[in-house]
Amino acid sequence: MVELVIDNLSKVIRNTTILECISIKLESGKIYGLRGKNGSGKTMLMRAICGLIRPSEGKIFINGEQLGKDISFPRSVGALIENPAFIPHYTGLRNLQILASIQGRVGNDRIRESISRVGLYPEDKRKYKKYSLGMKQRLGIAAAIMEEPDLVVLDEPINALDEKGVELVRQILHDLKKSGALVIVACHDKEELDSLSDIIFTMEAGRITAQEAAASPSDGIGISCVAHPKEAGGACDA
Amino acid sequence: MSSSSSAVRKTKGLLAKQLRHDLTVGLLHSWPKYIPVVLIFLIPAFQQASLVRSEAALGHLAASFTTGDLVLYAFRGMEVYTPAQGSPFQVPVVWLIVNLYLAYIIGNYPVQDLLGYGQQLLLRSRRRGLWWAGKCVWNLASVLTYYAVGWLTLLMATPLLGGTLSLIPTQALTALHMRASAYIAKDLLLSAAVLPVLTSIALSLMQMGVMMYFKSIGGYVAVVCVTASSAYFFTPLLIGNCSMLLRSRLIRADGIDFAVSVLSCLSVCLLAAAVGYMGFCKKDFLDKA
Repeated sequence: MVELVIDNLSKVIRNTTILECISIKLESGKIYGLRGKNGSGKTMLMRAICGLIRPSEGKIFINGEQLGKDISFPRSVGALIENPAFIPHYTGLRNLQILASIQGRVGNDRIRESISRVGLYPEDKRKYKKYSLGMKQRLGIAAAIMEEPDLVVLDEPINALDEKGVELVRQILHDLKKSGALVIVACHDKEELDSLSDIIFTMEAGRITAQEAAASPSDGIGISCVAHPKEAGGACDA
Repeated sequence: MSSSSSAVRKTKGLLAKQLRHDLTVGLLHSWPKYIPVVLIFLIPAFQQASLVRSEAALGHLAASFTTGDLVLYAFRGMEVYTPAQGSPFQVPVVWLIVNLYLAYIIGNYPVQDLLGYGQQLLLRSRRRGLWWAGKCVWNLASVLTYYAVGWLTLLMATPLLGGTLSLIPTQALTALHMRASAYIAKDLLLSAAVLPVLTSIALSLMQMGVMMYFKSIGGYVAVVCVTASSAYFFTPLLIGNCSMLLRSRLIRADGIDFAVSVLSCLSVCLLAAAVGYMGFCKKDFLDKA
């Protein structure tokens, strides 16, 4: 179980406001979608949640621990942010084995299972540098889910995937939700995001401007999710 | 007690994995970058061999040289520059290339790692210190590899160019290039073995530290500035001076002492590692855009 609280988060990089007055509270067992144009701040929000960028203002709490103060990174997170990156000279399996060895929480069986789940062949001898874009994307998703993290952050997971791949991703996200993970997914495709998510946040110019339930309803468990869009010309809402 | 020793064991285990990643990907898989190092060190070897042949043809020298002569020639640097009428500044081309090509080798990997696979490792290890420690060790290993390739090149070039495989420099050539006696030449050889490596380690750590604030290009610019300034100005505070044998106390009465060079370089190493770590802790992991 994980609770994610973002409190008045803002981020400025080189005098440009990337994120502004974001306050939301997210809970396990839900899939939260982020929608917005290029440059709206979706990826930056995901980076902030993963601890990869530091807030200029505001705070992020994961299970009561503040990112950047109590912890540098979330204790249990699987992330695919922008393009997947692996070691070109190794196979997909070897790449995931190296990552899994850091925490040592999962064994080869689980790694192979994750690779199969995304539609790749675990014993494929091809090196990563020979993979197609779709294969690289699938491996990135496998890396994000193989350790069964409590928090899963996926930025445009269906990029470069065919129909079968998209269906696999839908199933994976559904299973993650059922297992109680907190899933955050960004996607350009409105329809796809509707089918993947329970709650959708719309972002524009670094702010959350709207929050709505997705067309596909959740399983009926009560949600606690509050967004505070910034008033024009005013400070962040309390 | 048991939980703290378990935490220490876990940290050591994570560090070992980080090091294995950095040395495998950053060094082993990057071996093609070390091929030009052979060419870089062949240049002074060829220069020395042809100089010996010319001088021998004029009857000034015996037509012989050793590996030790090639080493001293490769690391001699340049005389202290004194601006004066009709005395133009002569760029020590070989010495500059040795330092700047190493900067190119160092420049890419830490940033590439941060943008890619290294992020995934970081999210799992959750320790910024380990990432930085791994990069510092990688840095050290890269410099040592660089000079190992250089020395091997000089060693293998010696018989091919007609020289004698011996680390002892010849008296005549030492007197010609370094204006030093054979006895001091042995001390010069020790300096040649230690100081260029130490200086390069310091410069490379400085480059990596600057990168944490100003990206790869900033690190490279810092190295160019320090090496170019070192050629022009004579002071151990510009550590490039420490790697030039011609500016050593063994050659000049006012030259830089071996111990001062070591201290100067080690100070830069420690400062660069500390400041770089502070910069890394505050760093945002963004994409190239």
